[in-house]
Amino acid sequence: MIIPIRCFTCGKLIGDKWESYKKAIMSGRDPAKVLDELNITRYCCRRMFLSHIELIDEVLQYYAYRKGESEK
Amino acid sequence: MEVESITSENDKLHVIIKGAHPAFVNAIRRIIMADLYIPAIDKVYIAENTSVLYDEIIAHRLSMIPLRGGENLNIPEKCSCNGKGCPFCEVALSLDVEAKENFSIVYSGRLKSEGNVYPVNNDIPIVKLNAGQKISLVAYARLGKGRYHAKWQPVSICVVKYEPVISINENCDLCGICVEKCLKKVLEIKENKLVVKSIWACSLCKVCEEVCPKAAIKVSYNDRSARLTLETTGSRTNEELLLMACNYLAQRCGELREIIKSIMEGVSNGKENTTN
Ligand code: SF4
Ligand code: SF4
Ligand SMILES: [Zn+2]
Ligand SMILES: [Zn+2]
Repeated sequence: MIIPIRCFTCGKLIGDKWESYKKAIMSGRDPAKVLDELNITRYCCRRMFLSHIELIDEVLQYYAYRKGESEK
Repeated sequence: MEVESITSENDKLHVIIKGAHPAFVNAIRRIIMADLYIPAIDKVYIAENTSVLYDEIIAHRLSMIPLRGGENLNIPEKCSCNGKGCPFCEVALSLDVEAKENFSIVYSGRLKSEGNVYPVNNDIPIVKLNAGQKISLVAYARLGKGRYHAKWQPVSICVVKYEPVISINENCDLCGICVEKCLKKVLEIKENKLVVKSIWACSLCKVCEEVCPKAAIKVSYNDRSARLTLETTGSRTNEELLLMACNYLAQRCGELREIIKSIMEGVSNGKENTTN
């Protein structure tokens, strides 16, 4: 749904790094290099980034649409 | 016992302790994981929440935010309020946001603290809101330890490792097979000699022993030397955690000594031996 605040396995704080990670990979950079630069070294934390889908963006779009409909 | 070196890299701290059995260093490791008091959000009163996340999810996200400070707080179980919660053992953090635009992120920086407890940084996303959605809540942070819940665990990793010992004898003909097969790149051929480049990187896998055609290399460990590695989540520094752990161990040993002393006095006074 939304990026977890900590790694599920080890508990490292990762939530604050998601946006810079996303911005970097959206500009076409290699995720492995970006994660190295963010000091995400363990594979438990790396999979948190690699496998994450920010679904809340989709849900919010639906809410924005429904609100627009009700105002018509 | 002797501390050979303390090195830090990023959030990590490596402490190499010579002359101490790994079991002793492990006691410190376990204390750091489970027995040190740090603050975390434990109670959340939600007045209004029209976001797309459930109250419970938001409360859980708040609890996972690492918090700094809180050194002057009472430990709830030992507080005069008996753990119910009072201004001496709790700090309130409030969050009141109404979004103006769609997709606006509410960051931990918006939490207003009424004491000396703060999120470790201001860029942790708590929730995303659309225009008009609202969140209004009060969260209470209190001290706790890792034994109760992982949110109070001050470290993400805390590991003890034996010191590896690699011995190479005169049968070695510098064929280089072990150098190539070692995944951790521990070995190196330098000036016509096989040398150990980075001993602490060795994982004691013994692959080098197996692949050596001359049986010239042997891997063992020194159980009188250990390396402790810890990585804080931010609420205390690594050095503070190490000192807190040492103090805690000393305090518990002091308590044990007092109990044993009182039992021994009981015995020498001819009273019955009580164990409780
Ligand atoms: S035991 Fe394993 S890690 Fe250590 S030097 Fe040999 S091959 Fe490398
Ligand atoms: S594999 Fe054996 S003989 Fe070859 S370099 Fe390594 S220790 Fe020496
Ligand atoms: Zn992790
Ligand atoms: Zn109290």
